[in-house]
Amino acid sequence: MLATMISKEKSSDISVASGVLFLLMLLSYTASGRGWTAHAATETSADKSPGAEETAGINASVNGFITDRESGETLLAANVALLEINRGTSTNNSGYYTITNIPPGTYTLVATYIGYQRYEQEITLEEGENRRIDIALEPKSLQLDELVVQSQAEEEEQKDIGRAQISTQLIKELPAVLTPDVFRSVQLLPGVKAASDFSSGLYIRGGSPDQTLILLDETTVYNPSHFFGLFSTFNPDAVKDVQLYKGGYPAEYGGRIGSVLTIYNKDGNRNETEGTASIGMLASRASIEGPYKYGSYMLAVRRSTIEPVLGFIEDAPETFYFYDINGKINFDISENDRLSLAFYSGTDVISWPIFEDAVIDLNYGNQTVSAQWRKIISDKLFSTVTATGSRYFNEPQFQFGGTSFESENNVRDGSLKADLEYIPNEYHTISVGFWGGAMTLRLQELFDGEYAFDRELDSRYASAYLQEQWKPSDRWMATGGLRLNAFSKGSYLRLAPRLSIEHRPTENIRLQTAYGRYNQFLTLMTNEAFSGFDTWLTTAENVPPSYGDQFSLGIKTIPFSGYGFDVEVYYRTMRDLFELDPFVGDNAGLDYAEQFRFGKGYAYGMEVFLEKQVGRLSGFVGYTFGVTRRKFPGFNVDLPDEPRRGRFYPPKYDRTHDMNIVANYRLSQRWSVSAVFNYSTGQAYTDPQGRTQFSNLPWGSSDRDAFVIGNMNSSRLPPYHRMDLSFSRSGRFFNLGDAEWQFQLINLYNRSNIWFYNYDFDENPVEREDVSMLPILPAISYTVQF
Amino acid sequence: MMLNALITDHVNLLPSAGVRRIGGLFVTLIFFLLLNTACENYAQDSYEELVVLEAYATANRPLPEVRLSKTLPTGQEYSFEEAALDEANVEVVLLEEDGAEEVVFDYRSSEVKGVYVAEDPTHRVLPRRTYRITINFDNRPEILRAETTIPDAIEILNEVPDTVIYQSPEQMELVISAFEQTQKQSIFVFNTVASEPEEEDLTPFYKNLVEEEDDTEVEDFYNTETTPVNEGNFDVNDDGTITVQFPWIGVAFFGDNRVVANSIDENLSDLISSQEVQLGGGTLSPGEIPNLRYYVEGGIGIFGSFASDTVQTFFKRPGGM
Repeated sequence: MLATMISKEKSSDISVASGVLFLLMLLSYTASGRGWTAHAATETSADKSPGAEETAGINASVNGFITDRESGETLLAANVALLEINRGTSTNNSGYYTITNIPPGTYTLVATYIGYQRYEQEITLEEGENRRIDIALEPKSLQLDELVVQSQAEEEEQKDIGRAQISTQLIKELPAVLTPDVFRSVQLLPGVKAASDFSSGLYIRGGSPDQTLILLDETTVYNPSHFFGLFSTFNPDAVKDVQLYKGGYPAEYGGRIGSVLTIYNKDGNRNETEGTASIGMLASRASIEGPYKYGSYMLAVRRSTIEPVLGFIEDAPETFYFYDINGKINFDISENDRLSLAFYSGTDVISWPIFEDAVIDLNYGNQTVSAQWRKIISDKLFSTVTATGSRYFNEPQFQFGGTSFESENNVRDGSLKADLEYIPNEYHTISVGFWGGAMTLRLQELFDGEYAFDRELDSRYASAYLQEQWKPSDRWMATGGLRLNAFSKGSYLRLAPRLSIEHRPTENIRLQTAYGRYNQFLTLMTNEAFSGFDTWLTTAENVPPSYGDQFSLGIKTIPFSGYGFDVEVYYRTMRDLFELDPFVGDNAGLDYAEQFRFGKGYAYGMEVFLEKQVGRLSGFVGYTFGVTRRKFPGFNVDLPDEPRRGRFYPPKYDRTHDMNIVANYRLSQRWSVSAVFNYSTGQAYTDPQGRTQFSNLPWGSSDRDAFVIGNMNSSRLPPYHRMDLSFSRSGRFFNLGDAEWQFQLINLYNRSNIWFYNYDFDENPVEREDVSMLPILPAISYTVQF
Repeated sequence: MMLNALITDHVNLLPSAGVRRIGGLFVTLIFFLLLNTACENYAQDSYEELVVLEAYATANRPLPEVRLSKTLPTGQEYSFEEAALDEANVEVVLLEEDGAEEVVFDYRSSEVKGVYVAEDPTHRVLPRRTYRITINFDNRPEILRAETTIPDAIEILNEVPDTVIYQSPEQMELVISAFEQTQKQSIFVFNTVASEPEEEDLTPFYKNLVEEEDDTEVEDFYNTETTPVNEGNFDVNDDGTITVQFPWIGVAFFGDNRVVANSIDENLSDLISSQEVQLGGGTLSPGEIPNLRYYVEGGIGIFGSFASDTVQTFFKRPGGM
């Protein structure tokens, strides 16, 4: 039956994928002890009703995709419910939902999603019927109405502990430096911090950026930054959905000890061809999407347009730009089978003759490609199979005084992943999956034309998970899972248990707790101030993987309709952290393990989130109380008594208090205003206590100055605060399409936030200078949607 | 009756006992969270004065002078004279392989405060041997102790051309003699000393630096050096020698220059590397300032060692420069 649904030339790919699916189903069968494998393997057509057979032939089911009516885009985490029996669920990452084991009868099917009109339809289900109902929700042009929620089941929105979702609309509305930015928007959420105005890296719950797995259409992105970290690579025109697991994430994800950020690009408008063009002062964007005979497509491009500005700056780089391209094409094989092919390519280029006989050249970027097959095997069984490819490269070249320094750093990662979701009844959702791949990390360094360093790390990795979501009643839900991770470099095998429990004492309150063990086989060599040289390294013999435990406890409430109020507390450990030892100046000739330092850390905190989702005024207030500590041998030592023993210290990004207020107010049909205000404790820094000088070295023309410090990072910079404002005016562009002007002011009151202090040893006594972050910055952009 | 109905109507709106208990648990958790933070005593500590040792032993040369000083508060003007320490008892000991004392060398104060010199000017520092320094004071409680293993002596074996044309295809080569390892791998520093440095003789890159950078002076380049470079960067020839292509970046002045190859011990290498880390760069965030790596018990500083050899050549301007 499967073969009849697909074109002949695709059959070889499908057979491979089917084999993987079969193996997964077998694994799931073995693990769960349920006798559904044979049934699922044979029932691949939507015109049968396998669910009915399995439920003693009496109960029915309803399933389908929930989409945006205007664009046909699937909506992720949308709510759907049957009111009369108070049964609800939410769509998965493919926008698919299924409600099984429904007694025959007449019901009101309801679907809701923030920013969309409520959908309601009366349906009558016969015994054993498997009804496919694809729901298209109508977007609200203006969110002036309150959200109407009639039952708990309608609020089945996936509000897992530690999970947050950011709408692309919000990303575009918020004031942003250069261009709307996904990461800058994510950084407004409680628990997420930015290192500085110049770094878009995500510091989540005390973790460094490498502890967050970043997936674009299921593909790992290794350096998601432009302009050396100023903002992220993801183009909001192309993005459909952004979900962040800040911690305690479930077994379906793995590979990082901190968090997971999943970004899904748009599938493309399935109903009509449309596009946007946006011209900004420093970056411009264009996109087009639409239907074609077999599905839909999307293409979005973005390029910086900063060069004319550079022309007015003395000693500016000769070349300085970035561009990125996102594309996706979907092929609807049948009602139950969808194929999609997505790609991303982005590059940053700089060429800068800083002096005579001194030039810096750098280009770095990422390329990703993914092919995904989503299949509704039956009303109870949904599968996705994804092949991914990811490449990250940076190639800096310096030429100083006739001597060249060159480096070539490459990450190549190819993988295959498969996931099965099985929903036998209203009590259980079983997920099982596999992710395996091969990765090559290559680092070459040439000094003066000769190879100084050439290392290639070939690794293979594989992981499999089994996860069960059990809902014994409307009030309780438990999700347990196991993830097995294997990494070839060093031959490591790690088992990671995960568990989360949710209890709903009342309709509007969810109490949640989660525990998880997490492993990480990669580490990132980076600098907060500059991401263009980022280099990934792996575990190996004598370089064990990092691991950590996360505990979290949360309460999510709906105090009033359209509002949300959440509180979460967390505690997490970080063990066997391996990082490049900052004191290793030259790694040539060293054993691999000798390049690293091995440490540990912990973090704990509390996050408060108050949200108003609808109405003329919408937005949120997020507050985080957080503590992060790390420790490495020989670092932050107690001089002179224990010069080898390290002590715990707060990393620079540690901030005890952090608050964000995000508000959007619709002034009229045409005008709206968005404001973002951030206040946080000053970052940790090291205040040098004493100084000395080494003046008798056998070489060099000047003495070498040195600070003597006590507790590292035990002082705090002045508090950080900044307000950004954005006014938007919508209108028409010569009756050809909708248009929007956006006027922005970044750092409205020109607060001089200190980034760090610089010390000038040329002065005696040594002088401290402030190095500030962004000053007030105005920006204008014009966007046309046609 | 009405009251009963009112109560009954509102019962469902009030939190249940379970919710109240969980609410209480939350408050308790947050209380302990804040309490724990308050107990995390990680405050800025105050300045503590430390004794600083500085001494570099050179293979086959007399015992080094020893400089002793104290640290000064950051806000205070620094000079060695101000920081120098007197009334120190300095002793350097040549150790046998098993750590036993073979020869003890006494030191005395020199004419310069804080600088101590060996009583015995005849002893030549022995390559591949370990020396220990011990310091105590008549007027301070600190006792300092440190050791260094002297790198094997090196020699530049090849005939270096009298004249080398700057940035010509023919780079200057140095062939360094085979040596015995005293540490896991040898570490080199190469430096160039201009014999008669004049600003007009600066090579273009350095000339631009002096012209463009406010805090850069021509004197800064009289004696330029590389950062420590591991032996692993070079191909070791079959006979154990190492061939080094001398990089043009090492040439700051046209004219007569002395080119020095230094093989340094790990104490010295770590001091230099960590001092560069402290100044910024690397993988640390700006503002994160670590201490330098010291191998001195009871104080800070360095008791390091190196072996070196020098050649001389004339770097000639290429045509048109």
